[in-house]
Amino acid sequence: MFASGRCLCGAITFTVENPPLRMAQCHCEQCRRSTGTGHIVQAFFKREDVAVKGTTATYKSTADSGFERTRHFCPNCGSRLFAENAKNPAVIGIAAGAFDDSSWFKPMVNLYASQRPVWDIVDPEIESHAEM
Amino acid sequence: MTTRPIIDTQATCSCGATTLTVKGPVLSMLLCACLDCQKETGTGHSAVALVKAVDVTTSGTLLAFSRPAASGATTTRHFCPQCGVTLYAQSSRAPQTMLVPAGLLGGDWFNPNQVIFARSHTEWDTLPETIPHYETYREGL
Repeated sequence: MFASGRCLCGAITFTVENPPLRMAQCHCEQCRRSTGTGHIVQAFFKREDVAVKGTTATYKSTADSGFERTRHFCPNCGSRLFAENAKNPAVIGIAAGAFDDSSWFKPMVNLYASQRPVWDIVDPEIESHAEM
Repeated sequence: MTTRPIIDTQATCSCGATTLTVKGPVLSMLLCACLDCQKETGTGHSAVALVKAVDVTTSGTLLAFSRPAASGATTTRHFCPQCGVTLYAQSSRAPQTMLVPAGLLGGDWFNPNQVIFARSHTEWDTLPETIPHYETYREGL
């Protein structure tokens, strides 16, 4: 097992078998609203490598790409957990803060940097894209 | 930038089922790196504005989740059951105030002047170096 995690109340737990495909931060309006901070922080894995226990609540919306995005959260404590995109159903994004030990995490790219709030500090060394 | 901006803002969750309106002074602005904030936001720290509870109105149905906080008090987070977005939180230490997420309110007025619970800060997360980082909770917020 590569890593494990849970929501704040423990109703939802998960394990991941292999390292992530990609790790990113995103400053878009939906990511800022769903986290309440300046950017979301996610690690993306093969869906088949992730096992989830417990039932998440979901919220579906349309991403800028035009594809449907599903955000998973805990219905009991509201913790931010997973994100899936219909463009690539074989991949799942997991919020970095959800992991029991996230010391392996290192953001590789900043997305929607053009929408970064002035008060949100990010590492200037990370590759930044104005949008996607 | 003023340390206590007066704001008049309405914010909604992602699905629009709940809204929060704040009209009044921002008492404090801070970043919190406690483990509960990291887990609830899914990020390295929360970014919150402290306002008076009497200056806040909400609409729509919110769910509440309470938990002992790193400070020793009880923190209750209020979120939309349909999309999971947190509208505000309250600490039992200061029931006359509410903590509202900066990512929800938007606005260039947000200017955190401290980091609390820096003792659990993770290495992959970036914090501003120009403001004080307190290991735990600073009294007299």
